[in-house]
Amino acid sequence: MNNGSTNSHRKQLTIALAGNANVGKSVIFNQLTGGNQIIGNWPGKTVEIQEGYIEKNGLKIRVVDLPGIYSLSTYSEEEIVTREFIIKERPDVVIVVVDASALYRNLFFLLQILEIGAKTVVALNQYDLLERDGFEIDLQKLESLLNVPVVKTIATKNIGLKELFERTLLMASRTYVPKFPKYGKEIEERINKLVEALSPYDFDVSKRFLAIKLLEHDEEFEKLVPKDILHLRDKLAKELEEIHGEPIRTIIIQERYALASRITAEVLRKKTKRSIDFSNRIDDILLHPVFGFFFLTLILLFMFFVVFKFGSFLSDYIGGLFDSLKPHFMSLKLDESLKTFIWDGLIDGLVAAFGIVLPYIAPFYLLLSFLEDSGYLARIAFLTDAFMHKIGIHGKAFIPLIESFGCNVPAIMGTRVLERRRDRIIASILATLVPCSARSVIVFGLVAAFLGPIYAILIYALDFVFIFFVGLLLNRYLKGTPTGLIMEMPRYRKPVLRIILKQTWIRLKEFFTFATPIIVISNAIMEGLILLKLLPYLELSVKPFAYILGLPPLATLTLVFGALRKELTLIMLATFYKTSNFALILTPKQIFVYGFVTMIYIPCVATIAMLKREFGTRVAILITLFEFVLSMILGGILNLLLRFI
Amino acid sequence: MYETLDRVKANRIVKVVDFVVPKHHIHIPQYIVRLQEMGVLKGEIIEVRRNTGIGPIEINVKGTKLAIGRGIASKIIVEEVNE
Repeated sequence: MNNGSTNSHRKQLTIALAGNANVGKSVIFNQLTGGNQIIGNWPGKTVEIQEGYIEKNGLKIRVVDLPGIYSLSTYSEEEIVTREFIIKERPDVVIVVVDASALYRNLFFLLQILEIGAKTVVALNQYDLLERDGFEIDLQKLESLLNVPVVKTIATKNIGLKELFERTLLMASRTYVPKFPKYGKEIEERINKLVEALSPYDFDVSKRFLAIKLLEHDEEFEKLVPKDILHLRDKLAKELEEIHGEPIRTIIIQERYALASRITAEVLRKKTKRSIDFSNRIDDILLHPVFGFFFLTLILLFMFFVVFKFGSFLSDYIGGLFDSLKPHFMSLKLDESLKTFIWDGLIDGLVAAFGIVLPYIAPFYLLLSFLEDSGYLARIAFLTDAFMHKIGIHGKAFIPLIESFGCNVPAIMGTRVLERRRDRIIASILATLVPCSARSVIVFGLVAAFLGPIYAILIYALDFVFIFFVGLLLNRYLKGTPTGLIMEMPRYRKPVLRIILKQTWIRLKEFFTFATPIIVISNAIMEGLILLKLLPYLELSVKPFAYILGLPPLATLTLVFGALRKELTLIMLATFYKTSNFALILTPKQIFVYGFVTMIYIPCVATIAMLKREFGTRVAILITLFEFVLSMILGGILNLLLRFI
Repeated sequence: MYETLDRVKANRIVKVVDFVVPKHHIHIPQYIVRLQEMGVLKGEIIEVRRNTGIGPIEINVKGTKLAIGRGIASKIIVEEVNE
């Protein structure tokens, strides 16, 4: 990312979109940029920033969608990234997207952006919801109070966006003297004292913003200033705490809200009587302590049913397509073993990714994104919060666990919705134990097919019990205290197809760009092992594990391949024994042990690689070892128990 | 009468009186700061929309709905207001 703040003759403008979550920021971003988007990571942080480019009057405009946040403190990485972006990248204009129907709370955030002193334009979005609630906002008054342009928008209906864009461009070209939000007298005096003390120094940010952040004891900004400034700050903060009888951080929050409240009182007017809040009516059913869970179960079951029906159809179709190509390829005039290597080693990996995994995860993520955009995922978090607390994480962690049923790789990314690293690690470990679509294929193809569906359900149930106990264990022994849930409940809304497709793509992208190459490479390595005739040695090395699990060594060997991609276990079983009638290879008890162990014994390489990317090598190795050891112990116990039945 | 938010029945309107915070701490806990940033401040009038005795409590603060985990709710001291 470039920093061209001093470059006056450049032809590129940067516009950043900031705002709370659930205010329609992404919709505005999509409407402004069309299909032209890149998703990138902010350096050093696991926060995604989306960018789009548009051309207008020979001007190249870069639009950046910053994460949805509620404050500019250090509560989450998203907050740090947002303020770093505004301070370091110095966008030409920051569009603050505000939920007009929740003006008071949104002003709290807007005031903090104004504190930075960046050029700001306000999009008063979801204005229709405000009107439905029976209110209106005095735009002229709000503009004069804030000293920045304010535009009414209804992004989902593309209303007001043209004006927003034009006024943003106008703002970019004009000079702007920031009018900083003014707080109470006692605080202003002390902010000014700090600003004065800071005057000999040079900073990236306005001294006023820095002074406020110092008063808030913001660690990131404390690092920037000399000790004597911090001493002065301590003294001033103490004075304020004595006057107000509150901790300094609370005082500043109260001051911002007091100002937000004054502004709201001046601009917000009641027009008609409030209409019925449908979201609340729906929630009476969907958040009901009994019916709520009933509908949750129903919705999830329906989702899995659709996914597996549609997925197996798609998978058969794509698999058939590749199968029909194979004879043509094999008839090419090439060296026989080279052909085998290319097909089995390289193409087969692609077939697996596109023919076995993708058909299941694509419809799965489509439905999940639909639920997300409708507002229902927040309700799932609400319903599952009490239960999730028993395993040390809060309700929001249930969402990556659901994502895991598709593929573990994007699910680990999905744990980013959690605020703390500890919570993310617990949720990720649990996510890797959730049967992904590949593992479900095994359970269906082996356990359900040869033992009956009851046993397949039993394996799922065993797995869920196992996940619960692992959660209990982790919560007990991992350092740190659990975080509680504080979550805004968005209104229900009609999902927007474009947003759903984009969310689906964001989830699938991890699978394509991250998991697929790993699947293909590991497939090639496996083929190499077979060609080099190294299998007998491997078979020897798995003997102890075969003994523990009570499985034939050759069948145990397939678990090694399963580490590359889970469904390979079944494919290799058929390859090694030259039959797909697994009842001839394994006894029913062995099938059960095999099915259970495949579900939990190790994250696949793509998942391990993702764990490494998100949490570092040490954590990735520890998780892998932990799961391997645990599964061998449990598999061994299961094997022993079954002998006595 | 003072009580903690987790004990307030649904559809009641209460005023935030205080937060249970360890005394003589320079830094108040992060979750209290976050609550305050979301608008749950001392003196604020909030409506308890949903409290079923298990799971989070749903409240209405100045037009926004917030779900607050039971543990955190037990740290918010409130007093009922008659309206």
